[in-house]
Amino acid sequence: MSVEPEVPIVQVEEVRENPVLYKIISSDNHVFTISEHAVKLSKTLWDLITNLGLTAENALDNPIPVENVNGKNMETIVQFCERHKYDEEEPEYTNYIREFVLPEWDRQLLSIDNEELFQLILATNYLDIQKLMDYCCRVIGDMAKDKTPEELRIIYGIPTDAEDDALERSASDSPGPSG
Amino acid sequence: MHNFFRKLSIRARSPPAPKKKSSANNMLKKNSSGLLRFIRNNDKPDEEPTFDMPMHLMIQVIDRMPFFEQIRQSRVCKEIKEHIEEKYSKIKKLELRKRDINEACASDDAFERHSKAYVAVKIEKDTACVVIDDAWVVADFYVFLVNFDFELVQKDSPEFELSESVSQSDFKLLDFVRVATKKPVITQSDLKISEF
Repeated sequence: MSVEPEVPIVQVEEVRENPVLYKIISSDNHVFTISEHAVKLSKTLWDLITNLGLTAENALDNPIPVENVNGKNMETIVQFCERHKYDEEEPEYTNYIREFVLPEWDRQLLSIDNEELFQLILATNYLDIQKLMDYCCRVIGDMAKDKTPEELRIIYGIPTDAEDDALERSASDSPGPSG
Repeated sequence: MHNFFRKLSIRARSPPAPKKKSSANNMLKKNSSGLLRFIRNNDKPDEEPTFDMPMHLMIQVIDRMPFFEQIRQSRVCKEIKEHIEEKYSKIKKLELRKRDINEACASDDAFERHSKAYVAVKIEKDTACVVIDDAWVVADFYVFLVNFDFELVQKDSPEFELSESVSQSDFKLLDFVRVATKKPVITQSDLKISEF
């Protein structure tokens, strides 16, 4: 009869967990802590961290101010990045159809007011988080599916081609700074 | 001749496209009351737009819509139309298959089916794979003969099969899809195309 050796059970999450943490300050001075794996999902933040030369030793002493994103959106973004930090790397963005199923957790996260969703998409675009951008666009795209192009034009404040031409004409007709 | 084509055409008896599960939409509608309220509010045409969406973001949203929806939304404005046309102008190869459309869509999730026409599309790199339903008959194929330089391959008489791989420098996917999703009306004197 063999006896199983007593091996301590180590959770996979513990092994993968990276101790390096960064602090981010939103435009309304809320402070968020985010792990290195999670922050890498944002190209903007990761470029900033790399350029600032933040390391494991000095990361928490040097909070990163993000002036364009408020606390509410930053909270959603941090939750999203922490949730997806170990996901497989996304294929390079091509603007052809890339079908995917929006996971239930993310659907719940993005079940927010339209105005908030719009602000979140702006923040996501600024922070350059491809996966979150995909998901936000999918949610907006689903909302737009049953709308006519005319309705979309109104909802998103897009001028008609005629209005656009008229605006361009009036801009070119108006006198320049020199008078 | 007119009746001959009509008898051949069984498209009118074909079953409607199965509805996709719309639980996501239902949930979103609950959360998009502002959007719906805005749409329904016809008394205040001068109301501010719900979002002031920058064009580059609008284009990103449209890029992530289903293929046929992108074509529909290309009517929103000139910029979006130009973007969609430019994007799909890079597709120069076409694989056209005639088979049971339900079967084709069930066997490959990448196929996206038109809501009314019996056409499904899948895009991979520079190739568009288009499936037209078995219900398409000789009259329907004439649309392609008139509009595109395709050859019909007659396999098992009297049914025509179309299974062509096309690679043309002047091939335009969007034009092709627009024609494919229009219903041909055969008259005695000529071939006309009218929208569904």
